[in-house]
Amino acid sequence: MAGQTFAQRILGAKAGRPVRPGEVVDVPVDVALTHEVLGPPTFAMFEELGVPVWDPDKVFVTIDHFVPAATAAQANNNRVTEEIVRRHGITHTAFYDGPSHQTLAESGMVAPGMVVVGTDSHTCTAGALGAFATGIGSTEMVGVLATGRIWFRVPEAGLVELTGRLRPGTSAKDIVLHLLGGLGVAGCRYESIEYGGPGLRELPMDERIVLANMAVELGAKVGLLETDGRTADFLSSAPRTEYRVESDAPYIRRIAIDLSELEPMCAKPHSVDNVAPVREVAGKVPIHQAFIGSCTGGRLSDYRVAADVLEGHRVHDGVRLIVTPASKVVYRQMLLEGLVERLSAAGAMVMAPSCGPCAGLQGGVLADGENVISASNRNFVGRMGNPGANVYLASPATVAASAVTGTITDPRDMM
Amino acid sequence: MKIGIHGRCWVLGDNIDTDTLFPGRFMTLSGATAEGALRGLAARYPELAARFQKGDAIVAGDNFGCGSSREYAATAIRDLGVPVVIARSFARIFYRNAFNVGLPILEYTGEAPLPQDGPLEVDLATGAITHAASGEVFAGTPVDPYLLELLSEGGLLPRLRRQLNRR
Repeated sequence: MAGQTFAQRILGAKAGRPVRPGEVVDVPVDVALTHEVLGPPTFAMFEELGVPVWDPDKVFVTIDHFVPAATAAQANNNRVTEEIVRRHGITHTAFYDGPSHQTLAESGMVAPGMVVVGTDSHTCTAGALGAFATGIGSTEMVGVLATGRIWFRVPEAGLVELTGRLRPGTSAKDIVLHLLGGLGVAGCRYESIEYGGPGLRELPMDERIVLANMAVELGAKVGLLETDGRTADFLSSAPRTEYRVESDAPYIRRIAIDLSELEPMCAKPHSVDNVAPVREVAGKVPIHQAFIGSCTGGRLSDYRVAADVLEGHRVHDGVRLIVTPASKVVYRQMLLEGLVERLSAAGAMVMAPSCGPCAGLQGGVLADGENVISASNRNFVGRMGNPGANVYLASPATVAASAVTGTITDPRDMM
Repeated sequence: MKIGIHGRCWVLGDNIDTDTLFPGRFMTLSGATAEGALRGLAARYPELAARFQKGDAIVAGDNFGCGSSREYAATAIRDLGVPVVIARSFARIFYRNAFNVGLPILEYTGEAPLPQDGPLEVDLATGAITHAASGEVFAGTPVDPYLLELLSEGGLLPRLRRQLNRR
């Protein structure tokens, strides 16, 4: 038979028969993720059914948004989440360890070919590990908790083939922003966006994760990446299933990107597809806050490049540079590598691993009229806690360079 | 599954997001009410908010329900008494949430705008939208049989209750 997309292969294997885009399949779930924001209302509905969780060992519950709690209401909510976990005998948790998508990736629960669902739109991050992973609503999660199964419409898929190597000053974030500029915020609606090619396999896992993580910003259901030895090394205990693009698969769109031709990109307010090269925006926007963190921009490679850009510089007087590592694993490695020292020496606030100010719930909410340049993933009105603020999205390198000058700055000018 | 639209069809634009359909500030731990949807829609569609009646349908453009995964956007429309939402396309989490909470939806593929002087009959299984007065038929995307069955059971929670009771 003709080649298949990753989405077809994973869902077909789960369904036990070949599947075509457009048909609906009912499949078992390997990992169900929820967090302290939508977990309590979801479990409130689930408990009305009066049945046990289908498999408490396959549920992953995190406390990552209200971290550390900023209000008594947040603290009480976090305690409710801990009680839910105890009540249902759930064995896998990451409390106060960092954004769920990073801690799930580090947990060892995910492997290539799995089906992963979560009550969070960035659940697609696990696609970097070769898992069919996507966000769902609360009622749907109730069904998963009760039965361990879920339906999916097998998505059409688009292929992004990467060749070449990223040049200094550019990163995976620039790849996604480049795609958003071309395809738009609903450009891959319902679809699987699948990445492959020699350029992908050159990227370290930290960078690959960004491609899957921001699939939802393109409207996609899942973002699936080729897997290889680096994926297996990251997962350490996982079997070495390797997914490679089958070029005769029925892709509805093929996009080729030569990574060496990319330049730093920026998404301006208030939409992720309002994209321009940093060169065009540079020097025109005063910056009040700079943020390097979240499930999108808080990994080791992000802080290594940020520290390099900041080397020998100080954060601008009018700028707050906030750093929230994507996990405690990342945080400890930052300490061992001297990254906390280097970022702090430049004037950064290095804070607890958490979702940080990305969702606007604590730890760096903006004042009216302020501009923030952020390595996170969304910039719609109010995203970072204040509808009167403006969010510019860019790579960690661009954020670090802008933190030094106090205006949006091309990092290549400082390297 | 055939659905009659006897009320008015309210025509909305593209990219109607979940913050319009159900603003975050109306969400509480104890749940959500249908009125939240009208209060949200009032910002962009004051006439709809003021004059909406049970049985009125919604006809929209592309990417209806984009944004958050909050399913209150779908439950509130259902609870208002909207028999069906017809749109050029739906954002994917809203699409799933609609079937899961028992809200019928249909993708409209025809060229001409749908007539606003009903009644209309919508056949989800074939995608056909029939204008009663003229007999004219407008084409939509047939809904998958799996999803039709889910809808006929009232959505995911009623299905789960039945399945669990059978055990």
